Amino acid sequence: MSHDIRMPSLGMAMDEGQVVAWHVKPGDTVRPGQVVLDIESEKTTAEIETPVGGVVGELLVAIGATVPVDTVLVRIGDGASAPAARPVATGRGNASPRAKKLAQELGVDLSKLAGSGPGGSIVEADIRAAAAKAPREDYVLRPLSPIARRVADRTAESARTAPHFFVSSDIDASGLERCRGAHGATINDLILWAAARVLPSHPLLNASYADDGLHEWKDVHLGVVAATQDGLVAPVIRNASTLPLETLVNARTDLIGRARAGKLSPDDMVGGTFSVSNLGGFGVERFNSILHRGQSAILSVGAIKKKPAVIDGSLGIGPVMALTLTVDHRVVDGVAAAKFLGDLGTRLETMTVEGLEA
Amino acid sequence: MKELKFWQAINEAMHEEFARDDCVTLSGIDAGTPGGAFSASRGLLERFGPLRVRDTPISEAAIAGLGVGAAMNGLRPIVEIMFMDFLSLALEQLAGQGAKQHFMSTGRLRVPLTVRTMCAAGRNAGPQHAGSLETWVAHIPGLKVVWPSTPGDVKGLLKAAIRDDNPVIVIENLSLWTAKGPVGGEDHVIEIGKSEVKRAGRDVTLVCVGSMVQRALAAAGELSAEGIEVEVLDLRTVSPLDREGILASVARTHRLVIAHDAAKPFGFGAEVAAIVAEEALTELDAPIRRVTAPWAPLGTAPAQELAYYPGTEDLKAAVRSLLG
Repeated sequence: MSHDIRMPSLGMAMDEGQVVAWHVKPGDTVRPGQVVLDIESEKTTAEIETPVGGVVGELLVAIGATVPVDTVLVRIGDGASAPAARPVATGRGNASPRAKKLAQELGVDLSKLAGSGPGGSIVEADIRAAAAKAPREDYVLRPLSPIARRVADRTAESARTAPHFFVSSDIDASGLERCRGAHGATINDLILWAAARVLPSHPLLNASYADDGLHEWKDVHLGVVAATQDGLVAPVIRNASTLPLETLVNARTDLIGRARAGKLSPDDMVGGTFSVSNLGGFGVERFNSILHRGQSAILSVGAIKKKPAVIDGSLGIGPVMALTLTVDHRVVDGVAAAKFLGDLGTRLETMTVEGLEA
Repeated sequence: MKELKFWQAINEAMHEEFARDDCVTLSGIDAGTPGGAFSASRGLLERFGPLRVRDTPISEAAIAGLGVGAAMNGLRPIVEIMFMDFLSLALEQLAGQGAKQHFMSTGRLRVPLTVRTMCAAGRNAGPQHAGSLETWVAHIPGLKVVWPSTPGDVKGLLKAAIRDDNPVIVIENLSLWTAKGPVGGEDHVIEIGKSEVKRAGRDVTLVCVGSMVQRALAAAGELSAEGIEVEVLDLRTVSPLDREGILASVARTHRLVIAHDAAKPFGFGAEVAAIVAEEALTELDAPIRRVTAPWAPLGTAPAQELAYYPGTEDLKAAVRSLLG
């Protein structure tokens, strides 16, 4: 009896995966539950265990290769029918540490080299020779991880298919500044909380454009755009319109913390119905976001800046913040966008600490 | 610079340090009247008197205990353990007591003790008199271990050991006893803990110490004729190891061979390899190789001993194996 280990699907969105590491070699005897390899999908990495014990057959997919879900990666045999052990040419195992480091620095592809070192290993001299022969590129190649590639493709798809339309407005941020710190809330937490409460009265802003019509989502699930080492991610705070501020702050802290640690699960990032992106921390005054695929609106939040302002009928200096709303014009027209932005602005400008208890 | 034999350099170092500091003494089996079992203390008893130069009974524990106690009480004693195999008998005094007094007295006591001991490897001294047992003492915090490879180095390192305020073990190879070499003057003191490049080379670093340095230099000379340039790094001090010196050499050659006469498991070669793996892995262009004696006691017959210790051919083969 033998068992095929296949590229698993780690979530509905996963249709392919990359082999990141093999922990066994052909001919090894494995126990049920032993980790055989590591894979990476666009969302996450995972260790793959063998459900059965036996002898490892040929490793059918090389490290670094991306294959469709369900592709056979390795066969675990009963020993009698296991194919003879054969090394896998990954082009990475048989290079000296120094050669590997230099290859990275000089952009040399180890998999295309023959080694001249002990046992045919690739050594420094091989890397330098290859680098000297290679045509000189005037750029540095930075390969994309599956996650980064997927984010890039979806962003491009959204920008290409959804007609983007922008409305923008400056608001008096003194209410926000008064409430900052209540229940541990940041300015962005206050905006998330207010948006979640305004959205139920503006169903088109919490909707998707689909083949069968518009899907107006019954609940508000907020995507919070965050920068990580691997690029932008937007983990989702669920049922945000019913959350007390303190709960929302805790949820946001947890999600962003895990996002920065690379510990988000695929489920954390799906199902958002409206998103908020904030570049205020970088001093950006105003910007236009690209819609998250499948969402009809995203709010871009700028920095609070001291500016000349009319306060109680006379000219003074006040804190001003620019809010810019991007909408999918197939779903939201200018009037609907303006009404939402107006309601949100009013809510933020009149925000009081007492009002946060609501 | 004048030339001396290895044992003469030891003798001269002791004469100079005895004259320089009245607190320096020497105790050991045959250290006094016969002038040392191998002549190294010749003339000391006659010149400095029986209060400072003492013959002792055949009891390494007593000799070492005498040295530790005298050192704690303000002298700067040298004691002789005739063969390093008998360090086992002295180990409680050296490792249990001497190495720890400075620490346990929060710095109030010092143990400026020098232990001269002989490694008789390569002289058909048999399984009980020819051990390479440097790690017995090198593993003990509080003890320093030096192992000179030339007459000049033994003089400079012995003088450094005598002047050091901590217990220092000085290993002297019988096989080097009559080797001649240039020797510095009274101020020739070599810093403990510093290695020396005995031969520079670009291809492979060969780390060694003591009598292995001669074999390493011979191998390097022969390999040079094949176009392979070996850098021979003489550790000079086994403990504390010269991390900087080792790492600097590996950064020049990117290949490392370590050779010693002790067996491979738990030998100092493992420590050198670990330092390089921990701190300079990406400098390495080939696996680290150790060339050592086998995991077995030494026999007495010359043919057995010849096969037991790594020789020049073994070193050459290890070096070549790193070059593809």
